[in-house]
Amino acid sequence: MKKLLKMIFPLSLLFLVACGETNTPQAQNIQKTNPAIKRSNKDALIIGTAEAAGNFLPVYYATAYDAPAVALVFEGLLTTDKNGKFIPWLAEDMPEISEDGKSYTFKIKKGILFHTGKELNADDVVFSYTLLADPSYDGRFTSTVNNMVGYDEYSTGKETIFRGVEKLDDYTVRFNFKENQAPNIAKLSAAIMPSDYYSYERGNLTPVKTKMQDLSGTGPYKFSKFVPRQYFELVANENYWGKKPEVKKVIVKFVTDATDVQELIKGDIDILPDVIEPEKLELAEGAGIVDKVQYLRHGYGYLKFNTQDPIMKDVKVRQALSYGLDRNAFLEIFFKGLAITVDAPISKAFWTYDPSLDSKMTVYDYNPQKAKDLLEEAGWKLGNDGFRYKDGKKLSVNWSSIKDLRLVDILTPILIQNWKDLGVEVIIQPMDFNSLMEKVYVERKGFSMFNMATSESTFPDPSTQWHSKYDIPGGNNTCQFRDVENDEILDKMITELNTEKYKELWQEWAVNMNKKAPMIPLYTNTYTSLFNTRIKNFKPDTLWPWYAAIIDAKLEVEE
Amino acid sequence: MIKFIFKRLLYMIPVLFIISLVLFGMVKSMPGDPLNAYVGQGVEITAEKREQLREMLGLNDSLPVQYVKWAKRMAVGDFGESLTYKKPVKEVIRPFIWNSFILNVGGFLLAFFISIPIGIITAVKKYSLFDNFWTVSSLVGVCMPSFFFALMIISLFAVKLSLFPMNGMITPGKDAHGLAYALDVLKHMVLPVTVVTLGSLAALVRYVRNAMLEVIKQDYIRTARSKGLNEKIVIYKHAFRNALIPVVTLIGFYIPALFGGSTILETIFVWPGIGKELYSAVMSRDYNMVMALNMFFALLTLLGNLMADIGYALVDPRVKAE
Repeated sequence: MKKLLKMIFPLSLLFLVACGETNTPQAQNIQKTNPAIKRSNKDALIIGTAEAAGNFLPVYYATAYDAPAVALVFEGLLTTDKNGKFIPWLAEDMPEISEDGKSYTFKIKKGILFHTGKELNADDVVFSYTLLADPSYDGRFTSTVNNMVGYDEYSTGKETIFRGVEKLDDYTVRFNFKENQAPNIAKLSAAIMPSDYYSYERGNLTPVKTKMQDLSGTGPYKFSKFVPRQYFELVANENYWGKKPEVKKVIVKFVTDATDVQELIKGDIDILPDVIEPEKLELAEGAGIVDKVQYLRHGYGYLKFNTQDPIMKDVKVRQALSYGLDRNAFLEIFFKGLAITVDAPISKAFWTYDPSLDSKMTVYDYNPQKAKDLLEEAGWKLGNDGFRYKDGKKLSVNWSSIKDLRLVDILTPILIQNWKDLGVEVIIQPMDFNSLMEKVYVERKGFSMFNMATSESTFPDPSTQWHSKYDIPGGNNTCQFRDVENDEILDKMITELNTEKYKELWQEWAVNMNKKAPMIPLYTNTYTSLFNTRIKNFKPDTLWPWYAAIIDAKLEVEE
Repeated sequence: MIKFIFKRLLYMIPVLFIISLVLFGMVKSMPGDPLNAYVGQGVEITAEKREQLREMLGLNDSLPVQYVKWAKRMAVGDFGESLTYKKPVKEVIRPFIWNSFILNVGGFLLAFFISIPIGIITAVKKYSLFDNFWTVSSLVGVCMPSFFFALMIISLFAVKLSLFPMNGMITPGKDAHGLAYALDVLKHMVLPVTVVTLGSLAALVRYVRNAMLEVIKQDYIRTARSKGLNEKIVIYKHAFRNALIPVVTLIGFYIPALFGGSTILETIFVWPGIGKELYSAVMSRDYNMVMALNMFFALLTLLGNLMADIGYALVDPRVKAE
């Protein structure tokens, strides 16, 4: 079924391109008026995205397509700017941090109103964080509060008051963390919800869950309508405390891969964010009414090695496999140039990144000779059958890959051939995504390599993904990477509150990761936001998603 | 007749029980953990919270215990809470089922109304140009995948001619009510209904044609003709009624299909139907949702069979309900 669904997309392009071909050269002349301006709802800005499930509460949303509603309606004490740096938002200023680095005290801005009309105060902050620690909380965001004092006691019902967040006076709150950790700051940007509107009894969150689409925050937009599997609608908050958005009405319409670009060209939608398929860009190119902005993804796709596997344990084998894979050949076919390679598990959008870092890192460009040399050094000798052996054991990679994914379909033949040339056998075990997650996160054995992609969070903290203490069932260190040097750097980083020093440590860590090669970073692809030319001043970026960028956008409704 | 229906309904209880057992076993043996699917990749969650969530979701019980708990709830009409939506399953699926239903009812009714006369004519005028045309085009229709056809009509009627909206069920942002709302939905229905119609039309035409051919060969038709009856009366009164028998059976089998949705069609037309819901529930291991939907379809299939049998008895006097 999934295969079929995936097939629809390329096929549809074939169709739509073929149909569009006759009029593309003259398109600019034919489309004298912008079709979006003739639309009955031309005053609304319509964004086309994949389907949102409709869980729009900040404590419960589960998909990336529910996130825009959450972000436009709700706000936190802190927020991140275009460079990913934390800045005060509902708070007067950055928090005052205690000597031991464990307590953060905030002054809250006065006079900010929720959409219900209630004024924001310390009770709402305490409420919003306590909700996440509730014994009956069954959402995904416990990591926001589980490092706070008293979480364990409160969430198991042993205590009736959550000590992690305290009200000092009506406009002052204090957060108490168990340990002094640099990423703690990232927990302070969680959305603040009005305590009266979402009230519930401790241990029973049912009343909150019934308000999945009844939203009241402090944000620039008010939530006005949700039609399941069709669209949701937001209207500008006239009483917004900050810079009021220009666009008064925003509609997020759910579109399908098969026809989304056509809808943009027809003016049915105004913005199609985060497009990755080069074919779609080509299609939009000739329309004459479509502009674009491009930026890199905040994350990467990868092949991760199981570094506890007897063969993959050897860093030389991992380096050899990195050198021995022609990543650029794959990028050229799959992304048609709309991607770059990185040589460590990093996003270059983080404030910790600096171009000077590149010169300190090994570039694993395709070099089969070097790869063979490394394998020889590691003791893997070529046998008569063309494969390498060591102590009678064949050099073989057991790859758990994802079923029915076009990326895998294109990567597989390149990878098999490249590594066969080195004398490496590849055994592929395709499975669906959920089974793969189970395998690499929970079972953690029966594979020597797997592929997935990741998007980085707001704070550049690599610990949970790479520290050996997270190599546990359910832990995020899926490479099962246990490297003393790496652990040392991460231990230093986690308590470093000085941003300049943190940046240095982060770079040191990246260089070490680059050398140890626990994974092959395959690609960081370019995202393109396509939008109707009637939209002005719309500037999304890697760390500035469309729903942040539309606040500054203007809409032309007449020619 | 009433006794017959009652007996058949009683038989359905053990059948449903067995189906539920098999389904439950199959759903639970899907690889992968629903918690993983829900929590997602890269989200930090402590082992304790994971354990607590498993406990809340009842995933720590043994399979028989889980089944008994589920069956008990099911028996009183409680389908549980959807993992994805955090809402009772019943509330989630109700609107989606009706959306699929209106699409399918429209499509199937049209298909029946069109295919019956065509089937009759092609049978009566066997090997004529008309017959050959329909033979070829229904073969093409049976072979052509619906998504291919859907894309074709989208590119023609929505992209090129701009006659109908490309997808969706209502115009976003247009707060229509009453008649205006109905018209808006109707406008959005035209293309998907056309695909549903044409998808079943091809097979139905062949079906009616064969049934009709079978009947026309019968001795009593020859007798009717030799009595000097008007050809129209022979065909429509004598032959057609008998040809209807297999067609009526077919209607029974279409009942479950009326409520079921097509994942592919709903994806292409962004139609808020049930087909896509079942697919995403399976992918996210939303057990309560998968079970509820599958049990619903199983029940509909059983009811459809029963209705086919009843219909059979009504149109064919030879079949006695006993």
